[in-house]
Amino acid sequence: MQSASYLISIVKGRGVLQVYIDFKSPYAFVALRPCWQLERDYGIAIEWLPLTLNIGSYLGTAKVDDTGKVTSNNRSPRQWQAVRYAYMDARRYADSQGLLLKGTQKIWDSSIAAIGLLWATDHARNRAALRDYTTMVFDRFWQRQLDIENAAVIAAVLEEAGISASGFSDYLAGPGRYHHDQLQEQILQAGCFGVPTFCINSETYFGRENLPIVRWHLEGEPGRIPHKAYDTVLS
Amino acid sequence: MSEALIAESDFVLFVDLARIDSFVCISAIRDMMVDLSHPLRLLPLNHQLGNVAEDVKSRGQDMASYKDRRARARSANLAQERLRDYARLGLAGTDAEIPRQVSYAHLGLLWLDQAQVDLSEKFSYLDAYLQVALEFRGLAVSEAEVDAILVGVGQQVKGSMVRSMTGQMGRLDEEIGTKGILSAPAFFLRGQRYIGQQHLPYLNWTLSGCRGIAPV
Repeated sequence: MQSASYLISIVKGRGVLQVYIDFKSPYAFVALRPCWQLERDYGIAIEWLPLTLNIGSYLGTAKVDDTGKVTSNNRSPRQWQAVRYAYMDARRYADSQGLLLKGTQKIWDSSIAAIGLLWATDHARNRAALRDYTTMVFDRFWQRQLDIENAAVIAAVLEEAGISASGFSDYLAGPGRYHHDQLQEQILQAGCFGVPTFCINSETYFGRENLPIVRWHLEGEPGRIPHKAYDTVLS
Repeated sequence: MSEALIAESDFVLFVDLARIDSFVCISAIRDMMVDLSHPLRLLPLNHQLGNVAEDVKSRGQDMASYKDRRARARSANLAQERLRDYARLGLAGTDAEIPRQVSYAHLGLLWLDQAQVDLSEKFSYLDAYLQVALEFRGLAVSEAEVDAILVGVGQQVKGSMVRSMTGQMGRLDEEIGTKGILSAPAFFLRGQRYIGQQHLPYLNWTLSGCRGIAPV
């Protein structure tokens, strides 16, 4: 098995932007379109990388039924506070973009969709295909219309995005899983712990509120570092 | 039953004077308020939600290891963020840190709020506090020093006037908890909470009459 150490390096050339996402994160979902906007605005190719969160390890776990009733959980009151605020906040961002964001009913294993992202990055014939894969997975998952734990479902999305899924099944069971898992180790060691995370010019930024700072880097860092804010140039 | 300290119609910025990002937000909102006629209240927030990962009982070595490494990454990221915030305030390269003991400085801010002094005087208090706090290099700013800052910005502070705010502060802490204001800086506008400075452009747009395209 080839070592995955070549996969990432946080120290990149100037202007190279890495974006770390996890399909099960509402904050990554609402950052997706502004990130693709960066590609268009600056003529760059973002290096998209999966950061598969172990949410249970820091926010506890919970399941809710179709009515929203909690059926099981091991969360503390302040973890519930954090989760509820995060969903409310992310939903505000989603609303402002005209997106539907339905809260999840359990903590999903998003690693198959993440490995699909690695596959899509290697096999997409153009940026549009990669964009379609990320958009379709995010949009449908947050509409509760996509089972991201089902390999066949992810393969079908790849095909729908115009990316051949021939060989994906073997990749998922072998090198794809290995690369994904190695990547998670490297990402944590590199200091990335949540999504979306942006790495550019040797700096690491966590949270979509840093998009104006990412733009500042892409524009050559004129003047003082800007404040955190919304990304107001989405078109 | 006593009257609520925060009304639904209030526009409030909650700050924690132990955190440099609160001062960055104060700087930004001061610029914004130049063009706005809407009143703004500045209130102290004593209790940050903190790292909720501490509440999880790790099951097995793998989870404990992940949690530990994630905590280290998060801590390193927060340290980077603090350096950026110092840079935003024009304090890049400083080795000064603001003190973590701020309970009396918070009482001073609440005292200014309850005395209904002009917003500009509250900003002056916060400016002067930051300056002194940086000079103290991490040591708590004494009560006498806080009183002196208040006097310096034109307030008639005598005896235990500031300390007399302790009861009000307890009520404020409760209201903040009830409203779900989890950390500072945070805003409260029209009954909604907005945690983090990033919401400022949206709040500005809202307070300016929702003209033009909403920030997204």
